[in-house]
Amino acid sequence: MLNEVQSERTLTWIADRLASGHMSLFPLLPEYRDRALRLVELSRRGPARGLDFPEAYCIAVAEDRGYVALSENGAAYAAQFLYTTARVWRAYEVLWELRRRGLVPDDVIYVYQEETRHKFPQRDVERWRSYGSSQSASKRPGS
Amino acid sequence: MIFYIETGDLYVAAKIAGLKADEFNELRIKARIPHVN
Repeated sequence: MLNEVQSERTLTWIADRLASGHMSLFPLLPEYRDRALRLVELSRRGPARGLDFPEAYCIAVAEDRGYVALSENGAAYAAQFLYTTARVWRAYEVLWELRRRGLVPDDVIYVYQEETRHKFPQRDVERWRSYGSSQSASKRPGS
Repeated sequence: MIFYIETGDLYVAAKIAGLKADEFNELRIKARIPHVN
C-alpha cells in the first residue's frame, strides 16, 4: 500500500510514525502474494465487485495473522462475509472503536464525513446516533 | 473521475488516471465527489 502514497503530507505522517515505532511496514511476501491473487480471482467469480490486489494482500495477511484489515473498498468489506475469515473494518468501525474508548467526541463521524466527502450508509449513521447517548456504544457495530 | 463515479472503484480509477490512490482521493475531495459505501 505504500506504493499508493504520493503526497508529501501523507509520506511525512507515515515517516514520523515509522520513526517513533508506532507503525511498521509489512513486506510483500510470496505466500501472501499468492493468497492475495487467489482472493482476487475468487472475488471476481461472483456478481459482487471484485477485490483489487492491495486490499486482497491486506486481507491475506489479516486472515493468517488475526489482524484487522482496514479498507473503504466495498469489495474488501464484503469479503469478510463471503470468502475470508479476516475482519475488515471501514473508517466507521475504527471511529466506533475510538469513541468506545473515549478517544474521540460523539460528533466525530459528522466531521469525518464532511472533511473526507465520505458518506456512510444512512443505517450506520442512525446506529451511531442511537448508540451515541447510551452506554451501548461498547457493542461493536455488526456484532 | 467518470470511471470512479460509475464504479466507485478508486484504485482502478487512479490507475487509469496515472495517479497514486492518495492523489486521486485528494482530487475526489477537491471535486466534492462523495465516496459512498
